[in-house]
Order: sequence, then structure tokens, then C-alpha cells
Amino acid sequence: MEKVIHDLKTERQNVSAGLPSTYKLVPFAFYLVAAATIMLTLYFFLSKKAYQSSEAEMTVRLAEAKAEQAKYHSSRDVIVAESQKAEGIARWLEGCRPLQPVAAAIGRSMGKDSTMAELSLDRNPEIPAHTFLQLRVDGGGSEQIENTLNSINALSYQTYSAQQVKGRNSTDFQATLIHSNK
Amino acid sequence: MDLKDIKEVLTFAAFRPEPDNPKFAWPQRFPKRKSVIVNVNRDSCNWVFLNRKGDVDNVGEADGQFMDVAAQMADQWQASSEDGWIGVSVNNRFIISLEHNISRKSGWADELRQNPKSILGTKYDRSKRYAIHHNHETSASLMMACDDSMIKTIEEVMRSHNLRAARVCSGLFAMTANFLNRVAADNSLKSQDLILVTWLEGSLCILRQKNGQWQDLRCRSGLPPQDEMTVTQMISPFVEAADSSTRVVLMEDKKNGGFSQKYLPLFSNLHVTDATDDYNLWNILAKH
Repeated sequence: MEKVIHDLKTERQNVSAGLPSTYKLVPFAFYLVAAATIMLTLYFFLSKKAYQSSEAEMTVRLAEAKAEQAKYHSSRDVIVAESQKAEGIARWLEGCRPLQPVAAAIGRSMGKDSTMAELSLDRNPEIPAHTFLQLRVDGGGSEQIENTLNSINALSYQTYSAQQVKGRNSTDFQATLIHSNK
Repeated sequence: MDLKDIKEVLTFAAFRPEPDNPKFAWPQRFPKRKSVIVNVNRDSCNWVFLNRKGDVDNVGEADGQFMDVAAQMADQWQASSEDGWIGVSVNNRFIISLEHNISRKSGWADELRQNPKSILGTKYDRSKRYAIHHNHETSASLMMACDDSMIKTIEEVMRSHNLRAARVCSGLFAMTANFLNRVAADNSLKSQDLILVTWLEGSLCILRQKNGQWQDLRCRSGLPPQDEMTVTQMISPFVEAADSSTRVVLMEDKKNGGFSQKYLPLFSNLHVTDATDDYNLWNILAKH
């Protein structure tokens, strides 16, 4: 049955029936993309705002952390300075250890066949705890040197870099003495 | 591609048929748009303003020829329509006849507009424009023939007032076709012995239908109000041929229109059913 009423008017050429309905996807897609663009722009705008606010907060926190770090550094510098002073005092204390007992012990260690031809005790100015010993003993040989070293050890000194050179009647000995706090 | 084309696609206007595309119903041509339909009688015009829902918003009428009424109302009609597209119902200088074996080949409606002779054959008259309504169960058809010169005159008058004809139709024929569709869809009515009367502002069409067959039809258009004799002469053969089981079904352009007030007694003792709705003509023209 014809549901459309008849038409008697003069026909016009190329009267459009409209685009096919499936093409409505085009404007729908356009509006969808436009809406998505607006949403994404809004999202990125808000994200940027949040990032900027977060960045400002982080900058403040970084400045606070740097200030705190600077405070710790200055405290550490004070401690390091104190420590250096303490080390200086310690070195001074080491440098003040008397050498007379060492000389006396070496002298007393000489046997009846031995004489101490030369004795030199030099304190290293850079490292006051190190004392450079040079000893020449006439007679007695290695045995005498051993007795002398035992006497020195009895005063809590250790010998390092020891060198012993035997001559015809004499023995040269040199070593670095370091006092050990046992 | 112009900016206008892009705009029409984005506003979905490009997916609507053009307002003067005859293959589409009125609501498809003017979806959610205001529109105006004018009924052109012999010596008067009446019109309706349809709102965006396609319902009657306001009606008006004026005495005088269409040319004179259009000159007065053109601005208002244009303001209440989309780009000046207006529907026209001609109610004068046409005739409806009962025909048989008219060609119903595929695409006959388009062919009738473009090359009516191929459909009507020897019945074709070049000074007429035609519309056809077929009975789908028989070979009978209603054929409406309207003066070509009158339609051209109406179109010319509209053009001169910057109005454009979206559709030109015969209101009475549209009412009758709609009426017959309703009867055909109603099984209880279809098989009855009926006298179907349609009346529109001085135009009358009477059709006798018996057991689904269209048997007789008489039609006159543009009857003057005082011409009661013609109406009586048209009705009396149907009344004389009627029996006690015959029902008269009446459809007018509006409730309590001119026919029911003046001519109902002519059907004497026959049972008359009034199938007229409020704003009947306007509703039919606005919905189809």
C-alpha cells in the first residue's frame, strides 16, 4: 500500500534522496574525534597543571634537601677539622715519646765482647711515630744484634724494614722502630 | 566540495531527502522542522502551521483566489516554513474516476510522474496531471486527473512570492486513498457492503465497495456551497442501490465539517459511521 501521498508538482531534475544512512558514520566519527580531542586536551591540560604543581613542590623539597645537605656538610667539616686537630695532637703525643730508654736499652744490651761503635735514632718529621735506627756494633755479630733487638722489643717497639750488613769486625744494622700500644 | 556541503554533512541535513523529493513522506522531508500546508479551494484557501513534531500548531483560512491569498500570506507562510518550502493541496478542477487494468509495472509511480502516457495509454490527456491508487486485491484503480494549467499557475504564484512547492497534491484524493488503506487493513470493514464518502471543502467523492470490490464511484470538485442539487444527484444512486446491510462511512476534512451538517439526511435510514478525526486533512497530509 502506498503510504506516501502522490505528488503533482513539476518535477525538478536531480532531486536528492539524501546520502545513504551508512555514511552517517562520517559525522559521527567527526563528533567522536572532536569530543575525544576535547577530552584529551582537557586531560593533558589538567595533567600538565598537576605536573607543574608537583614540580614546584619538588623544587621546594629539593631546595630544602640541599639546604639540609649543606647543613650536614658544614657539620661534617667541623667534625673533620676537629678530627684533624685530634690527629695532630695524637701525632704530637707520638712525637713526644722519649727515646732515651731505647738508647739505654741498646747500651745495656751490649755484651762483654761487643761495643757500640755508632748509634743514631732519627725521628721522621713527617711521621713522628717512626724512628729510624742506625747501629754499628763492633764484635758480637748477629747474636749481639739479636740481643739488642730483644731489648728494644721489650720496650714495645717493633722493627720494620730491618737491614743488617756484616763487616769484617763490625755489623751494621738499620731498621724503622714503631711503638706498639700493647 | 563547498563549505555548505560539509556543514550539511555535519548537521546531518545531507542525509535527509530534499523537501521536494516526491518519494518520501512529509515527516521524512521535514524532520523536526516547522512546515506549512495550504489547501486551495475554488474561492478560498485554508492553511495549517505544523510545529516541529509535525502536529497542528495553528490553522487559518481566507476567502479569495490563491493568487490574492498568497499575496497577503506569503511572508507569514515563509516565516513558518523551512526556506519557503510549502505543501499545497489543490481542491478544484480535478476529477477522480474508477478505472480497471491500469499498468502496475515496477516503478509505476515514478513513471506516472515522468511519462504518464506509458502507464495510462489512451486514457492520457496532456492537459492533465495524474495520480493513481490501486486496489491491491482487484484490478481496479482510482485515477485522479488534475488540470496541468492550474498547477502551473499555483507554482508560478508561489515562485513570485519566493515560495517553493514541496508537494502539490489533491487533498480529497489523498484522504480517499488513506481512507481506502484503512478499510483494506480492517478485516471487519473490508468484507462489508460500504458506501465510502469523502468530503473536503466542496469536493465530494463517493465510492461503493462490496466484498472488497470497488463497484461505482462519483466525484465532483469545487462545488459551490449553494449547489445542494448536485450533491443530492451524486448521492441518490448509491442510496437507491443500497440495502439494509449497507453501511455509510464518512470522512471529512475536519470534525463536523460542512457535509455532516448539511447532507447526512440524504442517506435516509442507512447506518452512517463518521470516521473523521480532528484536523483530519492536515493530519493525513502531515503524516504521509
